Amino acid sequence: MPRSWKWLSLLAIVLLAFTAFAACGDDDEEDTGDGEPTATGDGGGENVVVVEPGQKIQVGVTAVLAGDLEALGATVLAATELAAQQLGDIEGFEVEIVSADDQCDASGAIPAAQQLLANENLVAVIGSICSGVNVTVQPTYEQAHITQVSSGSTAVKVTYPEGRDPFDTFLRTVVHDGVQGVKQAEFATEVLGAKTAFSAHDTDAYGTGLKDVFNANFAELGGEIVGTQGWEKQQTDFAALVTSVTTAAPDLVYVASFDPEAAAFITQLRAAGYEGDFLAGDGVITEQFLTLAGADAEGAYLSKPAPIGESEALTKFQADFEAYAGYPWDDQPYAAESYDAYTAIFNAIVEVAEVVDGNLEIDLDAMNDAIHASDFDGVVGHIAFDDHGDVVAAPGKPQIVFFKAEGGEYVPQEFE
Amino acid sequence: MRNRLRNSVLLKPLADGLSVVAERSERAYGSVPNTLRLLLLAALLIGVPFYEDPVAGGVIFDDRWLSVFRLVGLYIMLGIGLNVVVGYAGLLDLGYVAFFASGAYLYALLASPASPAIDFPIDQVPWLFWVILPSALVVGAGIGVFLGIPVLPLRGDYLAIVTLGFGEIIRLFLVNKTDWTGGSQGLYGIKAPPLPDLPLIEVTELKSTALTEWYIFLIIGIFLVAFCAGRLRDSRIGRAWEAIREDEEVASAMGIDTVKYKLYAFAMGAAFGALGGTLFAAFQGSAIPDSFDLLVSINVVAIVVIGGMGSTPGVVLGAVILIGIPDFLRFKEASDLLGLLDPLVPFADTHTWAEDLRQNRFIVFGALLVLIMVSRPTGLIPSRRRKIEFAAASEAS
Amino acid sequence: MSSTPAHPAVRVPAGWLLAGTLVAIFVIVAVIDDGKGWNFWIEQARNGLTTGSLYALIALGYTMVYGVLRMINFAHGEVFMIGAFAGWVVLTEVFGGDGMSDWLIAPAIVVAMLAAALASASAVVVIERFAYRPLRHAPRLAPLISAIGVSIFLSNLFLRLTDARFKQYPRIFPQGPGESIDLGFTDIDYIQLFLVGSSIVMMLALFLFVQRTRMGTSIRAVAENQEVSSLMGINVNQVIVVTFVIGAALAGVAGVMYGLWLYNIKGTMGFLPGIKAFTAAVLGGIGNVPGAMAGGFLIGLAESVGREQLNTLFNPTLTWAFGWAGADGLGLGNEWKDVVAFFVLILVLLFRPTGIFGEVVGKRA
Repeated sequence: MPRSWKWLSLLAIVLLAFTAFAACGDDDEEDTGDGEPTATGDGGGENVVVVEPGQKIQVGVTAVLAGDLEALGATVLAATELAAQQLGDIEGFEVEIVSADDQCDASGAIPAAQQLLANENLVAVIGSICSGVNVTVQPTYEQAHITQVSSGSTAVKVTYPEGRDPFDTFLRTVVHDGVQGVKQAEFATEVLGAKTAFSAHDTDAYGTGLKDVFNANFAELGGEIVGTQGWEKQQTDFAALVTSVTTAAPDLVYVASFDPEAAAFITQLRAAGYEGDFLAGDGVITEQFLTLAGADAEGAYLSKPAPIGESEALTKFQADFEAYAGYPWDDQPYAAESYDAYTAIFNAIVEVAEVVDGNLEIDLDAMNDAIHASDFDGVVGHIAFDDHGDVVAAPGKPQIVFFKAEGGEYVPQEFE
Repeated sequence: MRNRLRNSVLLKPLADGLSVVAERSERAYGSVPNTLRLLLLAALLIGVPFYEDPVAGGVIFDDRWLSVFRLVGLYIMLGIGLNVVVGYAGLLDLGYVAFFASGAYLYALLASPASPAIDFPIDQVPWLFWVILPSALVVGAGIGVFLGIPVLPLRGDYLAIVTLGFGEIIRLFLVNKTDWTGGSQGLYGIKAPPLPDLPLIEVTELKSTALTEWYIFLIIGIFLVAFCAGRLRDSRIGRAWEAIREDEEVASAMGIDTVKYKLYAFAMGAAFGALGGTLFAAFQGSAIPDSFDLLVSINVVAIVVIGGMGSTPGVVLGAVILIGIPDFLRFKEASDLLGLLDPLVPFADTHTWAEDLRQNRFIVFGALLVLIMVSRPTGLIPSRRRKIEFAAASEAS
Repeated sequence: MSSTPAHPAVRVPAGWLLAGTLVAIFVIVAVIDDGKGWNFWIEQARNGLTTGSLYALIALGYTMVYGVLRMINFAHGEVFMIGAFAGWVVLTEVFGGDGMSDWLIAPAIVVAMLAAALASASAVVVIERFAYRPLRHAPRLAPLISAIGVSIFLSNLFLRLTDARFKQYPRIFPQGPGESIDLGFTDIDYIQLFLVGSSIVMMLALFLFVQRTRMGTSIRAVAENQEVSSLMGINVNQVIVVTFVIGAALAGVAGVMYGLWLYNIKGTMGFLPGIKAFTAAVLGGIGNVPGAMAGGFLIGLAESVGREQLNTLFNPTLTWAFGWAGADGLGLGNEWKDVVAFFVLILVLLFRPTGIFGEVVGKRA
């Protein structure tokens, strides 16, 4: 039996403190009555959010907002806020962006979700860009009938979960690895003419997943994977790996990871004298990659979902984003996808929201249907979803576009 | 010098205040028998999800509170487990996450549809969880012994780095050995086992019964684990641990089989860790290698040390402070509270304390660790024995 | 099963024997080869030594502080990071970054290193004073947690200061194809020469300092027995601060070297090298200065060469034993490098619980 009884009093004090804080803070939240987003039918009507005059519609963002990966989350948040600012009000009701930090980690996922769900006027959530968070949190949002639109989670399993149907409440504006990997393999064999490839990837869900797709397809197209090695995120010294690569002397070095490691890797690869081709994906094709890799990025091939370059919307977005956030839109990935995710949500709200007795009523399930039925030209490209929640290619347009880094810029390459 | 620093730091008045309150409450409750006290406490805690706000109606502690409490509860359980290893037996284990991960993956590999280990629809077997739960203890103990054997001759800081290494090796194994563990994608879709319906839940209208049930389940689990740990400490085994902790060579000379007892400590600590892991995988619904990194081990060690080594109440407080507070700071209420301080801040128009705090909470966390250690080196609620030891040592120096 | 410290007369030879054994294994396996070619092994060895030299420099800080205080300075990795940033500031702000004229490069690097040493040293003086000194007589784990707190504080502070972005070192050190010395059987890159060379020079300087100077002797005395040293008139506090400063200065310089080599620095960069270096210090025998140097190089080699050798070794073994023939042997790719490093550590400690060269025998104050 515990000897010290100070704990009893301490715990009681702590509990009391929490209670006091909670009780004080709850005042405005309880007054809305009907709209309980965490409810499965609690309050008024079937999953309808009722926004009273003077209150705001809430759209949540779940991302990494503090710590090492902060830049990623900050970008998603900035793009969302910009979109909210630009798209404005709905029927005179303002839209408020509420955010929660999920730390890109499964343990942080549910508390962050609960935090967002505690907002009584929450209608949808953007995020997370981390697949690990999503697979953990999908059931929670599903139960709450809140739609998630992710702008950066690319693991295939997120929309193709094992053992069950895809989550209706989950969609993403970013193309998943299954699409990109296939196209990359085709590009490698047809355009680059590579017969042998060395696959390097980060050991996260993203890198491993993408690498698996590429390797499988490259082999199917007749290529040979001469080596597959991974690196832990944050690794900066690739000397040993580079040596393995140069010894294997492949036609192509393929990288499935994010830009920091890829940049360090390509720098050291070139310094060791490797002159073959380099191909990487959407995690790498950022402004930061060009900055970090410098001259060594020259000649690298990179792919990215959706056609860009000719779109007026994109050009405007680029300028607006940089003005708002203070850094280029593609410094970190997924800014454009986040903007489009918000647009899809916004359009859906506009479509289903009804003004009843001065309140704005939004049926969450109808909203979900509306988002699934999205069909518009966003910043990233055409936005339309399939029944798994994945974004589909616009008819006649390629879903993955390839670029070559030349002279410090990304130059589009022709490839269907 | 140290005393001056301690006295000048803000925490001293707080610590003093707490001591006074504690003493008074102690006297007040002095007449109530131990068991009753514990039951009272248990009832108090179990009732948390049901407390209603008399002013505004509805429950006070809703889902987001409960999900934070659940996480804190998990860390309390882990902390009690590590307390056995570090606090009672004095073995510095920096790789505790290995045991936590074992329990989690044990359950996940058997319960996740994405698992490479099983092929049949696992939801048909709802009682699986109840079978796995006790097995987790056994498996955990086994792993504890397995990892404990090679480190037996190591003392102090060597033990620390090797256990750290084990923790990392396990994590890397989970990430890289995809065909065995599901790889970095992790295992997900684990359905929570149906917990026994408690009659109270029907009485009040709760938004999410699952969270409440888990919370209560965890509270019960913590009490059980704490009970076991306490009994261990007061037993022969516990005394052997104390002897080993104080001076291993002397203990050995006195006839204590240090090998057996050290392995026992690892086994017990690991068993509790694995138990926590299984619970985690079950209520989280997923087991992803990223959740089992070095930071978890460090957090648990910090909880134990800051709370007060060898002291269960200390672990509780440590977990509340180190895990609960950063999470709490993300809440609206915290922002509101801190918003009150806005007028004092020169940049009130462009910054808010809350926003800044949320972004900078790790900086604050680090500073907090240092401040607490410097002002209370034996921890916030050290076991009485430690306080005596420390007082003696500082008098002598 | 507690270990007794080896007799001093036997200690050094045993350590060298072990180190020698590892080198011999390396040579043997390289000879067995596996079709990778002699060049591959030499190159991996060079890589290992280069990385190892950085680990060694950082490890020295850990080991020296442990020697005098019996404390693991978990914040040491962050001291390395601070040095890297200090060097970056000097090179970009003072010297103009990439645009600096060629003749400025060498002096710029020297100034950057000095600035880094200064910055790291100052940081550590403050840290020691406020986070460690008050805990000198506290239970063992208290300074550890305090150090962890400092580490978290510093890395996140620098993340905040840089918006969690990477900063780039100017690419002023000649690196790339052809920037090397041709030795016939292999090339040595200039940068590798610079890193390994400077590290060795600094380590020699440290060794001489510890062995030959008065302060060095004081440090050894304090490491041996704090109480008696103070009775002998040594200002223990001063010695401790000097120990911290030296370790920090070395780590700071290592930070600049890292930046010149790998270019991208971030607030969290100290974590991994810190752990590796700590492992190296323990491997060599914590508290033992030459041990830390050897440990650093060994860990570097284990990560690169050792890992590949495990691949090679196991393939013929497994084939012979079980008839398996895997293309990559154990298939230990780059992603397993940390595992191998820890494995080497565990193996060594199994046979020599006090590290390769044994720890410095000293009694607690």
